[in-house]
Amino acid sequence: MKITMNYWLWAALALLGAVAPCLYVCAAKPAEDRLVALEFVSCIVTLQLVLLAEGFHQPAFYDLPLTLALLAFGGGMVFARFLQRWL
Amino acid sequence: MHHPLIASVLVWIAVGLAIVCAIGLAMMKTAFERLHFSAIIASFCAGLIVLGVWLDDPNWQARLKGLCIAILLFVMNGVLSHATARAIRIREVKRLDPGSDEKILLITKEHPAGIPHKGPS
Repeated sequence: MKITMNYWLWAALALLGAVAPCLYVCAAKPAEDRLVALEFVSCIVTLQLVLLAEGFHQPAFYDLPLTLALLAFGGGMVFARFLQRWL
Repeated sequence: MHHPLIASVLVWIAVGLAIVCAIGLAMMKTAFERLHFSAIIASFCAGLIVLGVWLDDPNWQARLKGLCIAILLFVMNGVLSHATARAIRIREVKRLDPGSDEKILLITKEHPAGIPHKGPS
């Protein structure tokens, strides 16, 4: 399958620039800040997958960000609870 | 309805906003300040991108799934931010209610200007 770059794919690539500051926070800051950065980056990656699905013209690919949005919510809640009680 | 130019403008505005928010997240000092930035991603950026999908893609499956994703992000981000802020607060000060030493104003009907909160009764 030959893929030509369109603005959706370029936007998905550019959105990687928003992941870099989160990586810095996750690497260098305390646990609370890391959790916040993790939640932020899960939103970014969800949107990135939407852009990729649109860029590849594959509506079936939308299932992936939909699942990620649901799982990121559950994961974030578990992490928050864990941070509050045990970490 | 096929407007690729408008859709591309919306998508690039969303990407720019996301990068600015990510830089803001890295520059803030406390976790409470950082929490605010994901709201912009989950509301404005997601909305702009899904609006772009609606304008560009005639496929209803893509449109509806995109809309579901935007609604999920919008609703769940509020709940998640609240839960995270609560967890951070309890972790930092070992309680949820404000203490008398925190100088928090309690605003009531009788005192619209606020009176100092005395802590949990």
